[in-house]
Amino acid sequence: MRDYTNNHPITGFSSHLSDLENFVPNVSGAHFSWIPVGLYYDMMDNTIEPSNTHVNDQVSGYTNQQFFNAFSSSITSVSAYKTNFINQVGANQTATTNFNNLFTSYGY
Amino acid sequence: MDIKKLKLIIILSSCIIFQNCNKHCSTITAQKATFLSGGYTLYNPLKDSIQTGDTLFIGITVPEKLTDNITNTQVDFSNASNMISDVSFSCLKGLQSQAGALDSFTLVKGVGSFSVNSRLPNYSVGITFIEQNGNYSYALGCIPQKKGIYVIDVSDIPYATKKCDNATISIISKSSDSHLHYLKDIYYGGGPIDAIDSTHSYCFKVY
Repeated sequence: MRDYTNNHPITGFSSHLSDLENFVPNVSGAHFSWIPVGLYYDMMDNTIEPSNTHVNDQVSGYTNQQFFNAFSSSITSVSAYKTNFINQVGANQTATTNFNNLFTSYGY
Repeated sequence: MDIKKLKLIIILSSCIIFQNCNKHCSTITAQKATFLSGGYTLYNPLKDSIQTGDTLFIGITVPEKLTDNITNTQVDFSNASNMISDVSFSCLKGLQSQAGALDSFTLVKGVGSFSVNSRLPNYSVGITFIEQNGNYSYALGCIPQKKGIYVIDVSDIPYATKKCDNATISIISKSSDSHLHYLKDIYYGGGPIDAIDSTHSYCFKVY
């Protein structure tokens, strides 16, 4: 969707990663904020989430392979994907709460 | 050229001209966006601590003539629509921990209008600018009602539209001191501050 970056690159980040990390899911006037841009990245990265995004990101360390494995033909919504992912990785209660907080931050 | 061919050419030409004249331009598209800079925020007074009941004024200005970040050329973005941004209010709680603090402030309308952002009702108001004197302007008075250490963020305009062009317009703080030590010490645990936080945030203590 974007081939440059947002307006504010993060030092040491590629423009693509900068765009993912700085995505603000709930800003007014953005027509495409329902697309959870940056959600997977927030599940992978181990950096402090920028405060201005208001995303509650206490999740880190998961991989593209795990993201891919959680998809199946029966997954038709973000919420269903979240539930399947949590079950697949065997998240404990704290981790489940963190997943819920993160997905809620993105509106799901 | 016989008369049938001439008629055909006239009909085809008319169709092409008609189609182009009525080409529909959707304002909601996922096409490549333009990234413009030049918007700025000023705060007054520039104190790192204020009392409950004091008023902090926020003035936001976005010139009609902005700079295209990719081509570094000036762009006239006058008469644009969807000039909407957010002003958010957070209370710093600890390392990577914040809470929505919109209910800790009484907001007084200055220039433009605001309404609670329904997607982030504890944190932010969506603001709509007024176009006047070569700028898009917005002004707001904020009166804190509770003690705490707060961060105000003004977001970029994510999806300004002019005819068929879409643009993200950056709005950065031009205040000489945004008291970012609060953000650095509390939220970032003394570590480096994110690039957007460092240019879009304004911190202060309410006692």
